[in-house]
Amino acid sequence: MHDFGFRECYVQSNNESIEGLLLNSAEEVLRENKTTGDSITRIFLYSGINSANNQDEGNALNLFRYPAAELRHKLGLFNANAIGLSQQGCSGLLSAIDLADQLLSNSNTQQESILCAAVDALPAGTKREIMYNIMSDATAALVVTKNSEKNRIVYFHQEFQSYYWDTPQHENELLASYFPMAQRTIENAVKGAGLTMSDIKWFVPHNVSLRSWEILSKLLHTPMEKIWSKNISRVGHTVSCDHIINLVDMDKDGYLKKGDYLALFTFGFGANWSCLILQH
Amino acid sequence: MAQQIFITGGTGMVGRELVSLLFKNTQANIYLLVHDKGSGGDKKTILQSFFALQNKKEFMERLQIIKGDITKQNMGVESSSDYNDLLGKTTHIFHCAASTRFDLPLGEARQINVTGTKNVADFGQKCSNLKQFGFISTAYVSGKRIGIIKENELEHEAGFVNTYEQSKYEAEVFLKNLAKSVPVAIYRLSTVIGDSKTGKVSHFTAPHQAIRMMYLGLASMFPGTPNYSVDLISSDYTASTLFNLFWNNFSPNKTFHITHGSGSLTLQEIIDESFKGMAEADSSWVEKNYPKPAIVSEEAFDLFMNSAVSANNPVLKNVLSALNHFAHQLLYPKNFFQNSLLAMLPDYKKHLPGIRDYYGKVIEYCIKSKWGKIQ
Repeated sequence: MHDFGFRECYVQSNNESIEGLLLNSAEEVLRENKTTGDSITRIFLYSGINSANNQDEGNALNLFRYPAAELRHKLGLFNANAIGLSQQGCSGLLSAIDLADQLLSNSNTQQESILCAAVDALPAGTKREIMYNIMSDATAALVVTKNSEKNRIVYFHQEFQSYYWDTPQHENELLASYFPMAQRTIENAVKGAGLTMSDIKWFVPHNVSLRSWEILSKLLHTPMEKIWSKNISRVGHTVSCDHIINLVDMDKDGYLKKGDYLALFTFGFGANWSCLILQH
Repeated sequence: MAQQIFITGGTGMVGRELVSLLFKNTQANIYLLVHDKGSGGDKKTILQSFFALQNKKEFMERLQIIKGDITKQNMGVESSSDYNDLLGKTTHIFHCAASTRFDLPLGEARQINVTGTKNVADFGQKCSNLKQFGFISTAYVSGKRIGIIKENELEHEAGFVNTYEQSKYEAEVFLKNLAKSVPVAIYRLSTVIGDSKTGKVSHFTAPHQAIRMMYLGLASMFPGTPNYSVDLISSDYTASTLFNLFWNNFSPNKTFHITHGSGSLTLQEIIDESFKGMAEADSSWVEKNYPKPAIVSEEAFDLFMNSAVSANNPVLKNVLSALNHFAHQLLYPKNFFQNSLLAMLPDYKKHLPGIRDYYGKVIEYCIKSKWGKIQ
């Protein structure tokens, strides 16, 4: 997988708990955003993988241990309606952000925020190479607010091709459709945002193979320098946390300036192609 | 003395329609060289299955089947008396046999298309009564040249996209040097796509495979530009043009471009029309909602190709290598001049079936016949 740009892979160790990692992510984002618990009215917890926590283990009640409710409780977000979202593969967190944005747009309350979080942990023993990508375990969290001064949501575009829902049956068709659909989705998102490709300062990728981004950059007539690909080698691909991890690292390393337009693109099994345009 | 026409490749896509016209419109006897390993069958079967002719006594008498192989000395005709008999009788030769595969190793392509042509030409040189030698070539002997391609131009150093183009080019160069001893006319065909009335395809080639890849949702991208003009012609009109040029208007030492020219579909239109045709021919296909392939630069196509090879995905690798051998031609736009053709057949363009009128029928035939698996 080195040829495809991968070097590192993060795997949850036996003495780590993914729930603990998720809690850390959420606490940190709430602290950084100085968000009061009262203003969080909803929690969307996304997982693109069928949860390993919901195993019966002899007690049927184990099937009803909900991580979204656990997060609500441990964060003390007692005004929030917590719900788990799933089944959009790598696109799920972007869809959750869009859902949150839509809800807030229709709300009359100004001081209302939605916590979106994602947990990506492959069950122990799962092969880490999936469809030519190296998969890491990760969690991510963010807060969607009205009139955000940072990373304002400009436009979200998603294209669904549910014929491919049965991934093992349609693997080759999916691979073949990836690039034309990716091109179409990004172009439509940029156009929908009232922008042109040259207005986009950074393409924030999902950390799939670097080769695929090299191909896509040519389809988009965009130089590779505009695709922030540093984390592909050092983080690898998580199911749905890539964009948030990348945004945090880009910000930390000084790549982002106020007003920059960012295009966050991903593909998710299901199948869907999604692109979120943000203004930093 | 009756005309005696010796034909190679008479059961191929264009050859079979040409032979049918020769049966119907001339009184000539037809000597049909069929591959010694082929399963052509007897005269009756061949007349029916390849030429759609009933086994009328007249046709049965005029047809002679010769088993052979153009890549072998004396074209593989085993009996020297049969070979000598042909040398004395033959007045016309029409050499249609070729490998039209784009992915053959150069050595194999040369063996069939160059050595084979040399052996047929050697036969022609020895024929005591030879009046005409017709040779089917391809407009793409021009290889990677771009722009205007004239019929009287041949030699170039632009290179080739595949071994088919190169081997046919080399065959033309060989024949050109024989012009003084053999009365050769060269007919350079565009890409023959199917019958303009029925859409029937008797020989599925690389472009049909590209259509198949789109139908299966496996065509991710084509190299080229959206407005590249894809020159396609119908098998029936090609055959009637060949018949008119060879039988009624033979001109030795001339080359003719039998191409579509203006009014061709662009690459983007080919993709659009293919999707439209597939939707019309197979309503269940529509539900799959496959995206249209992207039209990309050569660099992007090659990167994708190399990724498929690196990823060791056998299906995509096969699909892409099938496309690879012809798709790169889409990067070399050409305008085939037809001055010689139009001088002989001034009404050629007037009667040329418009590709837009029958492309959908070809798509339908491909789907209904499962690309030739169902007759």
